[in-house]
Amino acid sequence: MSVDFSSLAQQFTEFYYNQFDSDRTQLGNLYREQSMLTFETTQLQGAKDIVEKLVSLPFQKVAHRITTLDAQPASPNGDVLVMITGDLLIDEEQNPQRFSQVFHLMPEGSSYYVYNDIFRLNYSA
Amino acid sequence: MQVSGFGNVNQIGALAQQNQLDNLVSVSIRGWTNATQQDLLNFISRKTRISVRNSVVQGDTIVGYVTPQEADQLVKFSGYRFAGNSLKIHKAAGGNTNPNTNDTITVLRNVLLRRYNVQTRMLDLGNLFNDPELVQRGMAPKNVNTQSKMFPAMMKVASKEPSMVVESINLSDNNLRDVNGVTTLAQTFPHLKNLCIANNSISRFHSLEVWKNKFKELRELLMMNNPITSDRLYRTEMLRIFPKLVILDNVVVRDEQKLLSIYSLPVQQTQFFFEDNGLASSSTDFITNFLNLWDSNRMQLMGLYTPQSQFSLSVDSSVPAATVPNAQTTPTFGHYLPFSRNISKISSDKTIQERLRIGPEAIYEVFGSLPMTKHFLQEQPDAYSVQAWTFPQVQGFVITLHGHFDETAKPEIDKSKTSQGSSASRGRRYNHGFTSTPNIKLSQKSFDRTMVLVPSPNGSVIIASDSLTIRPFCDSAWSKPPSPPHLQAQSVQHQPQMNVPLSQTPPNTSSIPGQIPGVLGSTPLQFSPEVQAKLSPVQLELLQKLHLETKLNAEYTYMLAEQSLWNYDNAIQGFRNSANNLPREAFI
Repeated sequence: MSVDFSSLAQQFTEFYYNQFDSDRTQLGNLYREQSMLTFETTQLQGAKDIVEKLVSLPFQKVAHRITTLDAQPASPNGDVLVMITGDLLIDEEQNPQRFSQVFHLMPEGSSYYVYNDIFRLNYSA
Repeated sequence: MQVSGFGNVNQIGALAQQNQLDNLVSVSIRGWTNATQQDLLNFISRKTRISVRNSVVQGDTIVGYVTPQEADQLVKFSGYRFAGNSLKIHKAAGGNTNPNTNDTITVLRNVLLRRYNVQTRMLDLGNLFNDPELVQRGMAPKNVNTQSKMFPAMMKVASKEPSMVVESINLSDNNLRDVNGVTTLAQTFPHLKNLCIANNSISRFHSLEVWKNKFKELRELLMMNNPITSDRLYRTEMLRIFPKLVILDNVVVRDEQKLLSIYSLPVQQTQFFFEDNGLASSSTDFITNFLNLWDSNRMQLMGLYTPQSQFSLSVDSSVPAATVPNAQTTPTFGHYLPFSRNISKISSDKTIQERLRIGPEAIYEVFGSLPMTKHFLQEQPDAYSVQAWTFPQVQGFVITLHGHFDETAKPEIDKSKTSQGSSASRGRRYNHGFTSTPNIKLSQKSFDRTMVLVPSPNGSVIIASDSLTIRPFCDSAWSKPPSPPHLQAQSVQHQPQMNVPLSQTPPNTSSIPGQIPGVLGSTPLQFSPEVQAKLSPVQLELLQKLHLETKLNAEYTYMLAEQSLWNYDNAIQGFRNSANNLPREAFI
């Protein structure tokens, strides 16, 4: 069996960031009770807490712009690591912030959920 | 709404003109400190009918301004008793009586201090080029807009004046057509909050461009009575040039709350994140050893990769925004691009598949084709950032590392030779559209790296998955908070042997399911929060290692580390030399 993890990574990131940028309250479906979010200094577990954290971020409008995307199988069990770098455009500010994010995706039936999500700013303005 | 850190601009201009008319010189007065500044001024005024103008207190000295005639009169007053002391009055160096003294610095310093108001933290450089003292000394250039050395020199003096804490600067009434003559203001006062350049002749946005993103904390700008203000794009352009501008000509132009929340996003940055304490020590050990070998001999790393291990590389060639400090703006990626597997850019499935390297041989083809490097983990630990978390499904852990490196030499593997071989040579396979690397400039780069580490049968680790992103150099992976405790990281002297960190397995921990032996097993030393706060992660790690090795308690471990200047080898040597003399309570 060979999972096409690169198209999976593409589909996933496209979906994730579109959802994040349009309505991040709906991201809960992508996380499970055992999911972890590491967001700079904080770490949260469980879909509910994670979404609460993401919703509480201090901006209304946000756009993610991906500059690099790479993916590798993380283990023989079909899980995938997705590595992203990109720009974060917040509200109407012109100067983007750079971020890097790693998703560890786990298979579940015919789809995947986010097992681990590690976000960090590579540098700020 | 209280918007301004300034006084009335017109009043300041009038004051400067007054000074000029009066052709004042400065005097310094000491021996007054038993009374107040105002008492002294009243006293002098009563006794001599001289009023000392624009006086400022500098330590135990009051510096003020009087006419040259008054100055001569005042000096004679020196020695007079005042509030239980005798006054000492001098004409300041560079005064009228000594026209040959070329003490430029003193003059500039006098002018600066006279124009600085300690209460409002404002430096008033309004009508500076007509300043009587500067004019008198022949230091005020006739035309401000020509090359003037006076202003840069004055800024240099200002930067060496620690008593001056400047939040606001007034540069009004200087007949400026652009800011070229005063551009160094941005270097000396990068944290300026309020700036007034009203009543000048600035007419083009271009002439302010040298200040773009230089004043990163500038909150308020006054530019009234400049031709530029009537331009249709005036507001937009000022917002672009000054990223944190909130008030422009007394009008609120940005929502400050919103601005603050954006720039504090997402939360404070942190250098390290470890899911637990045990991971901290083993992952920093691992990274130190890994990068040492990456810099010195990549072939030696290949033992960490099994035939199933994967490696891929992505190039983020987008140029950092202008706001990023010290960013590399013309990065070159010639050595990396032939291997870049950036799925968001590359559409060929075949290429994507080929550029995922599997097994040590295929991985080394890439490692050896990348420039030789030097990382600075020991020299500048603050410039690196590490996160680590467990991956229980494979009993492993995942590390992400962010930082920078110097490219020090061309790659080990000369690609031009490889691709000269038969068309079936392996070099061809990854050299799509790539012939040779004649003159690719070496430079600094930043990177992100994610690795999945799993235990190997011999108690060491295997890199199951390794993903590297190379991007243009930018200042550091992690920006420091304003005043962190700075501690040297000379402590950890790692040997370049990969098996060291994880093979020191305490036997009693290997039975805990889901844990890597040695990773989670140690009992961390406990220090008081004050001590803990002073220690860098590298120091904490050193303490843990010493504690494990010596079984000393926290206090003695700390003393040992401190006495050996945070050098592990020295500490162990010192411990061996004196272990027999240590009291029982030194041990756990």
